[in-house]
Amino acid sequence: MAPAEAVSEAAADRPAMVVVSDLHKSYGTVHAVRGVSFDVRRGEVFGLLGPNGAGKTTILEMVEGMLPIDRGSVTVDGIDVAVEPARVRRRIGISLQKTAFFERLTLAELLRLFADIYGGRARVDRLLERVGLHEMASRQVKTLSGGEQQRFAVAVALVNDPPLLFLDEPSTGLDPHARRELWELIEFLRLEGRSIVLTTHYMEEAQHLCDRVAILNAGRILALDTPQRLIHRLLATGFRKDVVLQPADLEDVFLQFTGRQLRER
Amino acid sequence: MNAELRAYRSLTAANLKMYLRNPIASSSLFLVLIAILVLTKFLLNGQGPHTRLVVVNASGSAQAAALMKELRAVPSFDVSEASPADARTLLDQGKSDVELAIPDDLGQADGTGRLVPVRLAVTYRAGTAGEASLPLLKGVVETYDERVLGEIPTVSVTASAVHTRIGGAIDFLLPGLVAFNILGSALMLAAGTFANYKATGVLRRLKATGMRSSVFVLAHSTSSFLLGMLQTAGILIVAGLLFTVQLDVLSLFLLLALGYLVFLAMGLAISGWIRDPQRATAVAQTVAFPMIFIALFSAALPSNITSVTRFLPVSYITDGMEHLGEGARLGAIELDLIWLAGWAVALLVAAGRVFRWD
Repeated sequence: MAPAEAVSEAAADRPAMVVVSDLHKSYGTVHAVRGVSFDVRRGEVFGLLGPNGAGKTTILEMVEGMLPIDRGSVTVDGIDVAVEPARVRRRIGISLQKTAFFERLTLAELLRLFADIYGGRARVDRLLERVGLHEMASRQVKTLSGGEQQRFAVAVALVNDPPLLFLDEPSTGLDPHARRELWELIEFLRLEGRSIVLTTHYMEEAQHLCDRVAILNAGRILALDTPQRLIHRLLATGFRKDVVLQPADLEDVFLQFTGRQLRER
Repeated sequence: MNAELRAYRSLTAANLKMYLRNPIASSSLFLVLIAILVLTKFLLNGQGPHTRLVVVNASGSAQAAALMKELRAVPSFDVSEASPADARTLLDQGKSDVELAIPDDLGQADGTGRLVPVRLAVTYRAGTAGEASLPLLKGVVETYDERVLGEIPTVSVTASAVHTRIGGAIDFLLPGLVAFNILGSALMLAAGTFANYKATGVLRRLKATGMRSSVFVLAHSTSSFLLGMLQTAGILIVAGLLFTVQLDVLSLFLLLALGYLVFLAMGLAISGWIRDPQRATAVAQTVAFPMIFIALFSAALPSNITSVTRFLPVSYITDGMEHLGEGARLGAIELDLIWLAGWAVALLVAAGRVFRWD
């Protein structure tokens, strides 16, 4: 059983943290989101999967209160996003697809700044330690690698200690090492009881991390269930892969040479 | 502490920190303007402050000639002679700083053989090197009176000021430089920084915190304002050290603060209104450069152009600075301040309305 599968059974009975009903969004003549409905339960990792232009980020940003909703409704922890978008944003943690921070401020200074913006206490050392950047507190973001930058973005998203995190394509552009490190971080956050909504292009990532996934195309949800049930449903149709799965792939070779311990930690 | 106040304070401090850590971007214009002041000092004015002294000598006596010799011996005096009409014209046109009138009875004796007391009339342009040189001029005359004319005081000096719109090089240059710095720091820096924040997604990340846009705009404005005022104070201090500049500090602060707010709001409105950061910078430059030209060359513009440009905010700054440079007080620049306040309110409201996080 994949790590996510065990959790998903427990998460199924929990109350909803996010409820999305008949969500629509258009950009001019382009109907980008067409009647999307789903919910995210407390302590669940929920994945939005789909090709480029499927509407993943648009849905995410409407749920976050970053983008106005054309039609439909979204509640986050009981708060109507259309009515109180700023209140919703103060309660959640967001890691944007393209995250940027003030240049010339150190990681510690940025975390203190965001803590002040949220009106909370800065737990700089704890946050940096949690994302494995505790020795880089005095460095600036531009000096970090891509993976470190993504982990720092997650640290900033955790500043207000949110019960719900939105991660928009957090592992895009990362090498296998950095991706594995990020997965470990997300699993750790799930164990803390946080709900996580993430978008990804990587099916392996979704299968590894997500309790449930919604598969999107052209602004519509085509399927929504646990990864395992979706696979079983496909197999029940008589689908079989033509290729025999190798016991190892090139990624395993890469990890073997460049740091297998990351996988075994 | 209130959460928004804390966010405002922290963002303001962070902005100032970033300005200090990026001195090339935030202070290069300021340093160039300081360099212009220093160059002006050494290229145009020579090594020290000089006073252009025009003497109207109505006496042909040896005593008058001796006084002329004493005056010419002062290194910082550039002494020339002129008729009464020419001397006044030179003063009015700003081509001299002080006029000294030697009466025709200097050197004449009364019935007992003693020299008759005479009064030298000194007229100087207020707020210029002429005013600053008065103590030196009086000292030269007293020394002459004692050494050349004898121990009994014979010559006295009466001084009066004239206010003229025409100043020396610094009076012409300083208002333009200060306005230039305000334009550069408030309009260009605000627009450029905002455009950069938008382009890189920094504003979007801040929006994700649920922070109100007014808190961010206020923090950005405060830090820019503090930086701009600090730089302006620096320019004025350097100008004060190099030249004779006498200004009413309170009036100056009000004028510059309002001017800064006007251009800051203009920068925020442009960068808030235009989504594309490259276009925002281009528009800011398009707005700024004509105003910089007006600030630097307002005195040389034809009247049909100034009848339009005088309503631009930059004109109120240069006009107010010129008045202050001539020794005027708050009352003389009230109209400039009112117009600038009007511009500031209108543009701040506009900036608030068109602001976009992304």
